[in-house]
Amino acid sequence: MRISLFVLLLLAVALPASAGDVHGKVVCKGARDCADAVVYLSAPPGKTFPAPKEHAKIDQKNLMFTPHVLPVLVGATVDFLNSDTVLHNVFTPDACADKFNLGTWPQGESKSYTFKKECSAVLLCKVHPEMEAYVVALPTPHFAAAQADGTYRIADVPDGSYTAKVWHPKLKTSGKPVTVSGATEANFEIAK
Amino acid sequence: MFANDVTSPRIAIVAAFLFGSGTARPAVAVPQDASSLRASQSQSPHVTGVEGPSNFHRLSLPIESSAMGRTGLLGPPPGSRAASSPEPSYSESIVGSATLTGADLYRLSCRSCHREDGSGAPPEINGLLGPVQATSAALMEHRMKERGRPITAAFARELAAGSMKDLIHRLKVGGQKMPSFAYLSDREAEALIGYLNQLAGLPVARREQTVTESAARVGELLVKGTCHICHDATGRWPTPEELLQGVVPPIARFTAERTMPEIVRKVRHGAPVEMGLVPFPYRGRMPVFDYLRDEEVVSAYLYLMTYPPRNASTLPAPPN
Repeated sequence: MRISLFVLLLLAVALPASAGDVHGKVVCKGARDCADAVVYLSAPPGKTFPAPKEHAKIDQKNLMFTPHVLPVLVGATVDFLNSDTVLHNVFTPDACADKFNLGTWPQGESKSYTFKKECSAVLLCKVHPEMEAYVVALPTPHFAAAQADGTYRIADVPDGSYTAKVWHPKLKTSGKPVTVSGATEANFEIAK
Repeated sequence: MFANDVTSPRIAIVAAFLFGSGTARPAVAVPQDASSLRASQSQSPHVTGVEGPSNFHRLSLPIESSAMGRTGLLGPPPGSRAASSPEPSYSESIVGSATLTGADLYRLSCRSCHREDGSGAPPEINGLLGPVQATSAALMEHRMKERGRPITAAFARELAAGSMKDLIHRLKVGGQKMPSFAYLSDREAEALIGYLNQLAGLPVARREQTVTESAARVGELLVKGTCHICHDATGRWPTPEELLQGVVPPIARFTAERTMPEIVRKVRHGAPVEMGLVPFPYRGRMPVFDYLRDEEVVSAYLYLMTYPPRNASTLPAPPN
C-alpha cells in the first residue's frame, strides 16, 4: 500500500499538468493588418505570476521603435536602447506607466522602466514626433503578438477556463471565454 | 590673458592693408598698439586663445571621412575665373564693438556643420530642428492633441524643460562628435537659441536678442566655432607633400604664413594650394565660407595675432 501511494505521488510530480497551445486567427477590420494585435489570457482568480527576471528590449533604430508593439508580463523591466546616431528620448503620457519621461540619451546607451501594473502605454520620442510604439503590460505570461495575417499561437497554456482578449492600438479590445484543453482554437474579430 | 608678442609693426601692417586700397571705404578704427585691441574688448566675454587639437584630431577621424566643418562649397579649381576673387572690403569697424544677432552667432559657430537651415549632414551630423522644437511646451501640447492623446500643460512644460536642459547641455558640453561650446556666454547662448527657435519654426520674441562684442571676441567665435573643427591650434606648417596627404595647417601659423588679404580670400572665396612632392596647384580640401563677412575674417586674423593659439606641436618633425 505504501509503495502504491509512493508511486502515485511520484507520477503526480513527474507528469506535468495538461497544457496546450491556444491558437487561431484574428481579423482586424479597419486596420491595414493585424501585426500590432496582441492576444492574451486573463489570470485565473487569485493567480499571480512572478515578474520576469530577464529584461525586455525596445530598440530605437532608423528613427523607429522596434518592435512597434511589445507585450510583457506585469513587473517586467523594459530596456530602451538607442541604436541611432541621433539623441533619442522616450516618454509616455499614460498614467498607468507613471507618465514616465526617461530623458535623452545617445547611441549605444539604454534607459529602463519597470511596468508595475496592467497597462497599455504609448511610447513617444519628443525629439522625433513621428516615432511611436506601445508596451502592453499583461496579467499573465500567456500572450502572443499576432502575425500580420492575424494568426497567433500562445504556447504551454495549462488547461482551464480563461477569458481571451485581443488588444490593438487602433481597434477596440475584444474578449471571450475560452476553455483550454490541450490544443485549443480561438478566433477573433476586432474593429474600430 | 593677453599675448605679449604682439608688436606695433605687425598692427601697422594691418593698418596698411586696411587703408592700402584706392577704393573708398568707410572709416575703420585701427589699433595702434596691442593695448587698444585689449581695451576694445572690455564689454565682451573674456577672450582666450584657441588651444588643443582640432575636433577631427580629438575624434581621431581622417578629414575625408567627415562632413564636419565642410558642409559648404569647395573653392574654385586653379586657373578658373572664379579663382581670382574680389579684393576684400570692409563695411564696418573691425576693432570697435560689433552687434551680433543670433543668426550671426549661428553663422560663426554652427553653420559649417549644421548647414544654413539646421538640417546638418545626416546620418553623421544631426539636424538640430527636432531637439529645438522639443523645447516648446506649446508645440508638445499641440502635437499630442493632434495625436488624440492630449496632455496637460504642466506635463508639456515638464517635457519642454527637459529638452531645454538637454539643448543647453549639448551646447555647453558637446556630444559624441560635437565639440563643446562652453566658451559661449549665457547672453550669447540665449541669442543663439533665439535664432534656433526661428530656424525651427517656433514663435520668437518680438525683439531679437543681440550681443555687443569686441572684434577680438568676434574673431574668437569664428576661430573656435569654425576653423578649429578641422585645424589644430598649434603645430608647424605642413610641407606640400603633407598637404597632399591630408595634413591640415595649424591655426597658429596662419598669420605668419599668410597675409590678411590672402586669408580673407582663402576663407571667403577659396584659393589654390600648392601640394605634392613636386608642388602643383590644386583646389585643396578647404570649403569656401562665402557666408562669412570680410570683417569677421579680419577680426579672426587680428584675434590670432593678439591671442596666439597655445599648445605644443601636434605634427611630427618634418622629414629630412
